Amino acid sequence: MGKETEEIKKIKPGRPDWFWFLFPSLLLIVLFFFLPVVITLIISGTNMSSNTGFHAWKWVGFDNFRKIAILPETAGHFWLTVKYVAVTLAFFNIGMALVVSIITTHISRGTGFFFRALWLLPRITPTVTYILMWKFLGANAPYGVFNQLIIQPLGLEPQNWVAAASFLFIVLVNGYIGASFGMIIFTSAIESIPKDITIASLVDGASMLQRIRYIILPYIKWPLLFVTTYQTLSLMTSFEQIMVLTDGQFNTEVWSLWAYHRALQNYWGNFQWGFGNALAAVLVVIGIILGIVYLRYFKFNELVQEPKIESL
Amino acid sequence: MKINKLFTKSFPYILLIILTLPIILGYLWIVISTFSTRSYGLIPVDQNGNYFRGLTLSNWTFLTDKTKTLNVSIWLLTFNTLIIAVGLTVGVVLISMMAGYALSRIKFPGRNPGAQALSLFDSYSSLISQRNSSNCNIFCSPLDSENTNLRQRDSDNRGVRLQYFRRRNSRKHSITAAPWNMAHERFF
Amino acid sequence: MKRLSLLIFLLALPAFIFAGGQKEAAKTTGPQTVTITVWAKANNVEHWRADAAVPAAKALNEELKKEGKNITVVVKPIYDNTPWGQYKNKFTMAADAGEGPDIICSGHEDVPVWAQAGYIMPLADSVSQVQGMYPQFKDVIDSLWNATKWHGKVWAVPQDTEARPMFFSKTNLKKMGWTDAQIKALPEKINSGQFTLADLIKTAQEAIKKGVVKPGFGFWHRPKRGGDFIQFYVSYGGKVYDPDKDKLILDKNALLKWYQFQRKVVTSGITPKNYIGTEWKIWHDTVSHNKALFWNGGIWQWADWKTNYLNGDESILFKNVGYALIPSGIRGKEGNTLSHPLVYMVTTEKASGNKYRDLVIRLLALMTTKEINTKHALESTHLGILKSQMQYKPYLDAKFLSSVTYMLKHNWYQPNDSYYGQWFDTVWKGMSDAENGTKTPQAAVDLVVKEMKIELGDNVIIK
Repeated sequence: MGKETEEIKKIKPGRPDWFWFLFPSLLLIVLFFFLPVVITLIISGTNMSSNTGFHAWKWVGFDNFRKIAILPETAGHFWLTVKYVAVTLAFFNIGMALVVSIITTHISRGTGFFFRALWLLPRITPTVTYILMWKFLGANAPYGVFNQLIIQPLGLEPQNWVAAASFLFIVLVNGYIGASFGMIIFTSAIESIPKDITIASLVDGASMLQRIRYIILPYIKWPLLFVTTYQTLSLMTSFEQIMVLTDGQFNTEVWSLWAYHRALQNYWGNFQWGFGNALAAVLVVIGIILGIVYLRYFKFNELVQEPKIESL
Repeated sequence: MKINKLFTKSFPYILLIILTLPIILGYLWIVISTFSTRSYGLIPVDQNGNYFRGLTLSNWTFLTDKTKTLNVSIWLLTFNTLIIAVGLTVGVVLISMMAGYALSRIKFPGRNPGAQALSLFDSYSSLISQRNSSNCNIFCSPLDSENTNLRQRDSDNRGVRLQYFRRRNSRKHSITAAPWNMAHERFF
Repeated sequence: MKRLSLLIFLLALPAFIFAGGQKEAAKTTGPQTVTITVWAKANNVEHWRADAAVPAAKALNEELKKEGKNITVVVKPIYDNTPWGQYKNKFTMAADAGEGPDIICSGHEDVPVWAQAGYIMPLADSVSQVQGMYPQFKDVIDSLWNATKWHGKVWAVPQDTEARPMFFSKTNLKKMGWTDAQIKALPEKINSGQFTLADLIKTAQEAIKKGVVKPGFGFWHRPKRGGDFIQFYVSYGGKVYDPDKDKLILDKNALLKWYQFQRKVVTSGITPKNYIGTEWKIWHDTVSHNKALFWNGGIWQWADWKTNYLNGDESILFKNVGYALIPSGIRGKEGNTLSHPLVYMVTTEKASGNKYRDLVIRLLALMTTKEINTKHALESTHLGILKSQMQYKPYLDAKFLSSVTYMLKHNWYQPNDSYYGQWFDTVWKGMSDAENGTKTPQAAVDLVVKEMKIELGDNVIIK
């Protein structure tokens, strides 16, 4: 044993193996995560905007953050973001994903596959087309599909539902994309539950609900925790769908969209990079804290077990 | 008894269909609207709003006629898309496979926190790099072709607009847009 | 992970794509070749914004030859159909890196922002000076130069302008019992302030009551964010800018009345609930097919309706649609309309590496001719900017254009103030809150005032 290890070490001098395996990913992370975070933090301490260009800006210390703290609109954006992330996560990215994956794994294979394929469609549709679809699902009469098929036959007053139920729509739009992520992961996890356990429970006369509670959920605990963690952070920073759907109208301006509007998509083109980056920085800090909390709370270190071999 | 059994058997299907309904209706609308002048709900109408009229293939002419809506051949765009998609897939699979192998098989200092943190990084890059995703959309053109021709000042129809960037002097038209906000956006 | 590598491709892609286009560079015919790049945001009917440089360069080269100079000018017109925000962003980045175009065509409100950042250079110290530079500049309608001024200097050359009228359905008014004479007199009544915004609400309510238009179709304002809304603030006597103090103004009283108006159109049932954000497609379809009574838009939309919604039949529009200024909110005060001229700006050497300032301005003068500008005006239904166009036959033959040109006498411009963008955003947010009913008009005004103080501080005068 000892002799063999020595020989391998002789053949491969220099940096350890793991370094070269990880190097490409690390490079990407440094270039596209750490560096941008540092740049974001730096810019958030300046008054950089269209007025100043990239040369004539000045340091303003924490002025941008002070402004965030005193602006009356801040609280609105904050609570909306919390509500939006929580509701979408609970009802769609986790809830709906669970429901769909459980149903499609317990009906005939072909049908299950067909429905899962349908659920994947939102993800592979270009955002703009996907949102256009939702806009016309909810559009006012005579254009909207919901109004035509559901509201008007029931004799109710048709209206522009995207605007009337704006919060529901941003949740639906993101939820129907987000659910498929969990769906795929949960489906494969459910399918890998050993058949003998399921069969044994059937012999014992367990109902569907009991099976979900005592077999399926415990078996897919890790995927569940991973999806929760990942999707929370993902939802916090996603804004493209909302931007195309309502552009922040009707109280749908979530924090990340607010930052984006301030920094890059101001109507008359007067971009406030400094302030926008301060908003982004707040989100980054919250995200990092949440990430750490999740990792600790869900005991991810148990998931990431030590490998049994030390070297190749 | 029999009805009861029928109900329990069909219940999951019914539930699934109801939950999937927005997707079914939405994509039905997309298909119908690409074949009609305009549409009221799921019913194609012509320019004057007559029901079940105005069926047309004109929204699809971009497949053969490159001058009308795109000013560039759709096949060039498809080719660009393909390069991006294949390149991305190969790159991502390769890089993450290497990292994944190292993390799962090799023991080294800092491995555990590294593996945990890695799973969180990706969701943040979009905010920090602040890309504009409304930028690029080629495939929505069949849905929107009737609007693309005329002036929309002050960013009317923003986002749904076909983006092209045309150099008059040169024969070749350059395209800055490509539909990369398709599948990869929030997948992994 | 996928996203990260996506970014790498994003970075590498332009190089890949542009590799094809860049090679066909200008052919050198003389000892000295000057390349002038023009950027414009335009769609395919507005391409003259950039392409005007081609005939102008031809004329310029002929002139230079006659003068015996050994210089050839080659132009690179580039037009770009991205949304305004992105277009401006792109220019900012390019100019800051020293790779901007020599001429940039954009809204006049960019003058102060880009001048302050050092991207563009002044053309002259006063209007009279710029008019003396070239006969073509003398030909530009005098009032348009006001939109190009900032801190006393002239920074740009007007490219086109337009009016944003209140459209009304003549046939629907007739169905309500209006006589032809009454309908014909409406623009004049609006012009003189006898028909106000309150009358507009009343008329629209009556139309709904009589069943001429469906509920919610009495008045359709612009469905999305835009400078058009400030017209109503102005209608209620609001002022945006104090030229003497060079500061923005927020008039609380006018703001409140305007917000109350926006709310009232919804509560009185003439505008649908939750209407802001309606798709343009739906909006155009509705107004062009005579389903609404009043709607305010822009004259450039006329061509859109004609071509895309009415099979190119303009006579239907002339039969159905009338147009007037935006009515005043105060009886006896004349109507107004907002013009938003696009202008050509000349970039600084630092922003573009352009060393031939005089040649660039000379090229601009040659782009500002009645022949070229009329082509643009007709193709994109914009108003001309030259005095000589008002006697130029092709321009006069365009019935619609010549019938709205009078509106330029009553127009106003958004101020050239670098904080106007923030002013607008704050006011717009308050307006949509008020119209959607999420806040009362008074509460919306209070919030706007509070935010304005934090955002702009001393840069705005709150009355």
